[in-house]
Amino acid sequence: MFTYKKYLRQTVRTIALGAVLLSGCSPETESTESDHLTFVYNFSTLSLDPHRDSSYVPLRAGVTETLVRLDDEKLTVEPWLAKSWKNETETVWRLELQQGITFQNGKTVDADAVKSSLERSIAENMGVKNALKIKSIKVDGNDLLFETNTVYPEFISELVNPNTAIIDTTAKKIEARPIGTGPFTVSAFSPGTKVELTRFEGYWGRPAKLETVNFLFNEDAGARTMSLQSGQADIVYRPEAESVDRLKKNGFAIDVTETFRVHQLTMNVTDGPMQSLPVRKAIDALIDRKQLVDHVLQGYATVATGPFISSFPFAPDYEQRTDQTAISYLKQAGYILQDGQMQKDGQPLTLTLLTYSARPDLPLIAQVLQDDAKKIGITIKIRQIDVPEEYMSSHRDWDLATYSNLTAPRGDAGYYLNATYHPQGGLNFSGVNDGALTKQLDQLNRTVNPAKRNALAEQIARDVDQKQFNSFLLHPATLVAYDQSRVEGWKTEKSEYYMITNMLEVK
Amino acid sequence: MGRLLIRQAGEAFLFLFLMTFGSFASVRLLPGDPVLTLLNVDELSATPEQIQDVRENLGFDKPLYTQYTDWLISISRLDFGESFMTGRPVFSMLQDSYQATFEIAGTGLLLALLLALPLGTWSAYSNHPAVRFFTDIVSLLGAAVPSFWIGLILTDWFAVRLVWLPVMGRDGIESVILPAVSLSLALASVYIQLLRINIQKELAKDYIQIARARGIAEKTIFWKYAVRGSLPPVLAVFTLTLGSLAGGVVILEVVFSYPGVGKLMVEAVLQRDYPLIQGYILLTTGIIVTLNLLMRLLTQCLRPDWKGGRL
Repeated sequence: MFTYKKYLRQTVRTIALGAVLLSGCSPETESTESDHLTFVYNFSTLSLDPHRDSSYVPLRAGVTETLVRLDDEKLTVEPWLAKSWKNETETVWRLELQQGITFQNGKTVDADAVKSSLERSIAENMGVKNALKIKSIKVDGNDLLFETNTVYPEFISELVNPNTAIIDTTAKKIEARPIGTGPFTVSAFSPGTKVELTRFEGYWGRPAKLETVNFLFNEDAGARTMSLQSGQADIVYRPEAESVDRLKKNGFAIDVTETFRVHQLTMNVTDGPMQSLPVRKAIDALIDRKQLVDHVLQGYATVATGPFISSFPFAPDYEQRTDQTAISYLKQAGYILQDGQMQKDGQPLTLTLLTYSARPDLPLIAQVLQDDAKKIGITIKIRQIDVPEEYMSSHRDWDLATYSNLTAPRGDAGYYLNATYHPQGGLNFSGVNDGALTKQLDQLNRTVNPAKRNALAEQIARDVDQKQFNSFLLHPATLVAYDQSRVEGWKTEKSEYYMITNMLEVK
Repeated sequence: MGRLLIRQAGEAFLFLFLMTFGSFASVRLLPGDPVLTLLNVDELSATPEQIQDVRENLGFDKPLYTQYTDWLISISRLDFGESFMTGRPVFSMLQDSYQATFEIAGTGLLLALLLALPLGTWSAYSNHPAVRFFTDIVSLLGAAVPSFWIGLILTDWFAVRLVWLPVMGRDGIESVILPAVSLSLALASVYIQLLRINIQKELAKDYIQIARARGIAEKTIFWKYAVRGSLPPVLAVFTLTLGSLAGGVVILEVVFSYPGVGKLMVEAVLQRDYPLIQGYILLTTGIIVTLNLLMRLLTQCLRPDWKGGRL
C-alpha cells in the first residue's frame, strides 16, 4: 500500500524552495536608482520605425525629432530641426536647417540626410504621402526646397507629424534601433513590452538630465496604476480613473490636461429630419454638456463650445447660447407635442443615433442623449456600429452619430475643417455641401499668411457653429500620475507628442 | 496504424484547407477597412480618391478568389507576407510572439499539472471527506475565479505590497511567475476533477475487481491499470487545452504586458492587419491539428483497444 506522505513532504519542500526563490528574485527597483526613470505608456508598439509606428513612440520617448514642433503654450508651430522657413512661390517652400546637429551615430544631419529621411517617410507611410503632397525635394546648400502638388499652406504644420521624424536612413534595423537626433538613444527594444533608453551625450540641445529611461507599454489601466504604487514606475500615462483619489491620498501627483480631441454629435444633413436647421439646433440645445463631463467623463474633460480647444489662436469666442429651448426650436420647425410625442404632419420625430464601443464614453453619451430626448417627446433609436468611418460614409440610414476625432493635431485648423466640411473631405460624414462654406474653405486653402489664415479659420468655425452641422460635446482630458517625490520637470502636453524630454529628471 | 495515420493526415489536410479559406474569407468580411487604418484617417486628411488608390495598390479591388489564390501561392513558398502595422515579415513576428506565449502558457500548464496530478489522484484514491473537501475547494476556486482576476490579486500582493515580483513586462524568469501561476490555478481545477472522476470510474470496473481477486498489489492496480485507463479522456482535454493556449492567453498577456500571440492578435484585429491575422489563423490551426493527431496516436498507444474514440 502506497501513501501520499511522500507527496506531501515533497510538496512542502517545493513550496519552501519556491518561497526562498521568490524572495531572492525581487524585481529591480529601478525607480530608486538615481538618474533613471521608468515611464509606463498606455499603447504598445511592435516596431520603432518612426515612419510607420502609429503610437509615435520614438518621438514620445525622445529618440527622434521633427523639423518643426508644436509649442504647447502658444499652440503654434515652432522651429526644431528646421531653423526657419518661407514660402518662395505658391507651391515652393524653403526650409533652412539648424547647423551642427548630428545623428546619434555621429553622422551630420545635413540637407541630403533630411531629404533622404523624408523620402523614406513618404515611401513607407501612405498617410504621410497624402498629408505632405510633396512633388519634389531639392537640396540647396543647407536649405531644402519643397515643391508641393498644389498650393498648400498647411505644409509646414504637417511636418509636426511624428511620422516625418528625421532619422539616419542608412542605419540598419530601423524597426528596432532607429538613429534619430533626440536626447535619448535606443539601447534595447522588446516589441510590445518596452524600450530602454540611454542619454545621447552628443545631443545638440541641452543634454538630458536623466541617464537612462525605461519606456514601458501596458494597455491595462489597472496594471499601470499598480506599477506606480509598487514603485516599479515613476510616471504612468492614463492611470485608472477610479484610482485617482487613492493615488492622490498616497501622495502621487495627478495631471489633468485637455487634449485636441473633441467628442461630437455628427448630424446627417442630407436625409431625414436633421436637414432642418431648427431641428439641429433643438438637438444641440438638448445636450447637457456639463452633465456629460461630470457623470460620463467623471470630470476629466472640458465642455466643448466648438471643435477646437479655446487656447488655439483660431478658436472663436462663441456668443453665449440663447436661452431658447429645444422645444421652442422644434415648434419653429413645425413640430407639436401630441400624445407625449413630437410630431409634424402626423409623423413622430424619431431619430437613429449611431455609436460605437471603441471609445467607451460614446455609447454612454448616446444613452444620456436618448433619455434627455425622451423627456421632450423625441424618440432616439441607438444603433451600435463597428467602424464609424466605414458605416457613415457608405450608409445614409442614420440621423445622428457620436463621433470623436482630433481637430488640430498639428496646430492648424485646415485639416479638420477641410476633412469635415469640404464636399471632398474624407470625414465629411454629415454630407455638408454648402457653397458659401466651400468657397471659404477654398480660400483658406490658398491663404498662407498665419494671421490671415487664423482669422479665416476662426470665421469658418463660427459659421459652421451657426449652421449647426455638428454639435460639439466635450474635450476629454489626459490623466497622468507620477511620483512627485522623485520626478521633476514632467509636463503633460496637450498634443501628447513630447513625453520623455531632456528636461525630465529625478531627485 | 498506417491506415489510421493516412486517414488522420488526410483529414488534417482537408481541415487546413477549409481553415485557410475560412480565415481568408472571414477576415475580409470583418467590419473595418485596413486602408482607413493605414492612412490614419483619424489624424490625417485623405480624400475618397486617395483611399481608392491605396485600395487598388494593395489589390483589395480584385475579386476575393484572386486574392485568395495569390495568398495561397505566397504561402506555398512559405511567404506569409509583411505586417501592415510594422512592415516586418509575418512569420518572424508570429515566431517571437509564440515564444512569449509558450513561456507563460508552458509554465502555467506545467504548474497546473504539478498541482492537479497529485491532488486528482489523491482525491480519487482517498475517500476521506476532508481530502474530498479540500480538492473540491481548490478546483471550485480555480474554476470560478477568472485567471486575470487571480492575476490582479497576486499582483497586488506579490508586486505591489511585497515587491517581490514585477507588475509587468518580460524580464527573465521572475516576470513569468505571476502570469503562469494565475493561469495554472484555472487550468488545474479542470484536471483535478477530470482525473478523480475518471480514475474512480476505472476503479469501479470489473477487471479491477478481478485483478484484486488475483492478489495483484493495490499500488500496481492503481497506477498500472486505473490511472493508465483513465488517461485517454484526460489526454483529449489536455489537447484541447494546448490548442486554446496555442491561441494565446489574451487577457493575461495584456494585463502583464507580456508580448504573446494573443496580445499581438488583439492589436492585429484592431488595426485590421490582414496578413498577420491570416498567418496567425493558419499557423495556430496547423499547431492544433498536429496536436490533435499526436494525441490520437498517443491514445492509440496507451489503449490499443480504443480506435479513434470508439472501443
